[in-house]
Amino acid sequence: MIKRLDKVRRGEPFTIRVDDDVIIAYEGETLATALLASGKGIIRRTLKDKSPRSYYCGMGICNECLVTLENGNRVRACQTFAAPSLKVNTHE
Amino acid sequence: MKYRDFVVIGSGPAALGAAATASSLGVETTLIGEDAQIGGQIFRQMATPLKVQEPLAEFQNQKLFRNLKREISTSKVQCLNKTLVWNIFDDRIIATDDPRDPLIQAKKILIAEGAYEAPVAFPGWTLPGVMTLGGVQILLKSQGVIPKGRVLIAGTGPLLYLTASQLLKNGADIIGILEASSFSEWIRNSVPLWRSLDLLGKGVGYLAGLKKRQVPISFGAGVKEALGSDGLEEVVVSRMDKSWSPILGTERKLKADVLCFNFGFIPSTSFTHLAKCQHACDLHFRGWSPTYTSRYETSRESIFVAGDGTAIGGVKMAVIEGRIVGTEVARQLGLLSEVEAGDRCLKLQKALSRQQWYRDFMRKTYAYRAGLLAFLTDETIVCRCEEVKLKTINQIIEEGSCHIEKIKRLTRLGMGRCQGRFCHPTLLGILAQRLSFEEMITEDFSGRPPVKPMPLRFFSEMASSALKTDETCKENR
Repeated sequence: MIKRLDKVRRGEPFTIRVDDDVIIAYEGETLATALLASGKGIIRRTLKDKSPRSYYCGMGICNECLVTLENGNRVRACQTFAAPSLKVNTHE
Repeated sequence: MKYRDFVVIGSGPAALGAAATASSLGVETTLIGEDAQIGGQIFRQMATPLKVQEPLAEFQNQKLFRNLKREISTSKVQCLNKTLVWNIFDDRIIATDDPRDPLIQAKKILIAEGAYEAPVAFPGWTLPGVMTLGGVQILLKSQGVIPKGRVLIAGTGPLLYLTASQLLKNGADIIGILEASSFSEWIRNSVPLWRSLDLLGKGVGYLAGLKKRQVPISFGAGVKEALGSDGLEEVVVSRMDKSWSPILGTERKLKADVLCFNFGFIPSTSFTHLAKCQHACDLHFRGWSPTYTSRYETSRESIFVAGDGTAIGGVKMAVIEGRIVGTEVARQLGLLSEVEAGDRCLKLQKALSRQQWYRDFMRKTYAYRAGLLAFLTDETIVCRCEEVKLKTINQIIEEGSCHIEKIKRLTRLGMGRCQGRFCHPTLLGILAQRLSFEEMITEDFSGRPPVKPMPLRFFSEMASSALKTDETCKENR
C-alpha cells in the first residue's frame, strides 16, 4: 500500500515477526508503516463480519489498525513504534 | 497526587500558546501531550531518527512553530510527553497513564484537543486502501512514505490540492482529484483566499503543478462506491448535484489502489464531554462545540478550551486563543490585574478578529450537505467499530427511537473503541432529517472514561501502587 522514499535517511533495518512472517522495519517507523510497506494491506478483520480493515485516520483515534503484541496488549499500529525482535499477531 | 496550578491537555498550537503565555506571566504550568514530540497534528515532524535533507512537504507556519518551541523551551513549562490523559474527575483531578503517580490536581485546566477528519460514509469506505487525507499526510511527513500504485483523491476544499501536490512532488501516481463542488462554486468559494497574495501564489502553484502532470480534476464529482475483496481495487465515480447527492446514470468505474478523501474537520470533544462541559450540536460540521465565554472558559468553572477544539479556525487563531486563555488563567490566579489582563486580551482579540475570515472560509467550504446521505445504502457500515449498518439504524428509528443515546443503547453505535468519533457525525446527519432544529441543538452523548482504551493491567498496577503507598503511610505513622 505504501513505499519508502529513497531520499529519507534511515538507520539499519531490523526484523519484526508478524504472525508467521518476518518483515523489515527501521527505527522511527510505526508498526503500521512496517506492515503497509511490507505489502500487508489488511491489518485486522472485524469480529462479526470478518471484514478486512487497515490504516484509516493515522492519528490514533479511529482504532482500526489494532494489532496484538506478545504480552497480550491490543495496540494501535500507527501509534506503536517498531522495535527489533517485536512479535505481532494480527489474528487477535 | 501531584498539584499544579495550570494543566494544559494537548500539545498543538493552542496548547503551546496558552502554556507559553501563562508561564511567562508566572503561572506554574504543565503541558501533557500524547505524542513523543510537542506540536500536535499540524506541526507533526518526521519521527526521529528518520531524517531528510529537505522537508518532504512544505512546512506551513514553520516560523510560528519555531518561535513557540523557543518560548516553551526557555520557559518553566513542564512538558509531559508520551503521556495519555484518560479522565478528568470532578474537582479538576486529571488522570494520566503513569501507573505510579497518575493523578494531578489542577487549579485551572485547558482542554486543547484539536480536531479530526470528518467521516463521510459510503459503500466500501472501510476497505483497506481507503484512508483519510490527514492519514496519508502523516505517512508522508512523519514516516517518509508515499502511497503505492494508483492514488485517487476525493472530497472538497483546499487540502485536496495541497496534498495531491505534496504526493506528486514525492513521486506518487495521482490518477485524479474529485472535487464535490461545481467549478463555479469552487472559484466563488476560493475568493476569500485571494486576500493573501502568499496563499494565492501558493494555490496557483499547486494547480499549475497538477496541470503540468496532467492530473484530471473532476468538479461536481465524488466516490459512489469503493470496490474490492481484501482491499481497494476499483472505485465507482459519480457526478454530484448542488446538494452533493449522486446523480444517477453518471457512474463510471476507475481502477485505484489507494483512495484518500477529506470533507473537512470536526472539533474533538472527548475531554470536554468527560469533564461534563455544556455543548451545542452544530449541523454545519455534524458535531459538537463546547460553549464558552469571551475568555474561553467553558460551563465548568476553571476549565477552558481553545483552538480547533472549539471551532475550526486554523493555526494562527489557535495560538491567539491559547494566549487569551493563558492571560485569563494568570488573572484568575491573581498574577495579573484586571486592567492589565483586560488590555492584553483586547489586543489579542483584535488579532483574533483579523483571522476570523479564515474561520468563516473553513466553515463555508466544509459545510455539510445532506446530499451526502444519499450515498449510503442499507448495507453501508455507519459505525465502523461495532459494524452497525444503515439498515439497523433505520429499523430502530422506524420503531420509534430517534435520539443518539437511545440508538446507541439499542445498536451499540458509538460504543466501540473510537467512542463515536467516526459514526456520530453520520448519525447526526440522519437524525437531522427527522428532528426539529430545537431538538437537534440539544442532541448529545455521555462521555465515559477512559478516553482511549487502556489495558486492565494498568488499573491493577495503579491500584497496587496506591495500596503500597497507603501501607507505607500507615507504617510511617
